[in-house]
Amino acid sequence: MSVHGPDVADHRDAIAGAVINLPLYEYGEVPGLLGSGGVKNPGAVPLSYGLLQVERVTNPTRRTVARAVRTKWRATLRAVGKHHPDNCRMALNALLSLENQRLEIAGHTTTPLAVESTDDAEPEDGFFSALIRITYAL
Amino acid sequence: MKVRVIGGVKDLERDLTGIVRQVPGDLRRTVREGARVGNVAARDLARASSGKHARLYPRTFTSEMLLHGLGGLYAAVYGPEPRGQGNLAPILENGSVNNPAHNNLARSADLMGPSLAGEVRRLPERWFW
Repeated sequence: MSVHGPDVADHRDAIAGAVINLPLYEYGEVPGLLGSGGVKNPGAVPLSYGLLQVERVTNPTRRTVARAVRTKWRATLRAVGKHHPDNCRMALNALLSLENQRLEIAGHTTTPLAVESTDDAEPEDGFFSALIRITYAL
Repeated sequence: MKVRVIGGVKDLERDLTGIVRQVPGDLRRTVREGARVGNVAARDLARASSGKHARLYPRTFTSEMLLHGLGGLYAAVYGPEPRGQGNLAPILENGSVNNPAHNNLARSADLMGPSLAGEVRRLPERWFW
């Protein structure tokens, strides 16, 4: 087991801490929304928020002899806004502020966060949302 | 005792024209195999991540050559093609407000990017020797 253990929770905490002024939720734990996809309480849903998932990425250039020093990760973030696409774009800007930041995770520093791709705000299920994919190595 | 080496410009010319004949086929095959392997990887990932909820989705993954050497370009594409039950690809690949992204194509590209670059870089070694 490498020093950079597979504890995704540390990554989530670091990313949520680095995003300013925007709540980041898990899928299924947004206040006011049902886990299965319905709206339980429209008033309780925040005006803009983000959804975060963090995954480990394969590293095909890893040499079989050397110990892997770097693990690669991808954070897929979804910016969501209510009522108007600009609320979604506000969330997207808050998430884009992650670019080039170096996070402290479990005592190690990541490489500068790189934005892989983003989408513009699209209407979806009564909200507006946009996707942003960020990759980094730890 | 003498060692005589015989060669000339005509031999070099013959070798070089032989290379020119070989190059298009090698390029086309490399690109086509790259897309096929990437498609298999993406389809396996799709099967693992969404096989239970969308049984027919992994079968929509296809690979296809787009350019066979027109203007010296070789291009292929792979990914889900909308079929039958409608276009599930955006919802599954990129996720939505209600479900997380599966990122099957992104993960397949993580594998194929360095692998294809390596294959293309090795081609001139085979041609010139």
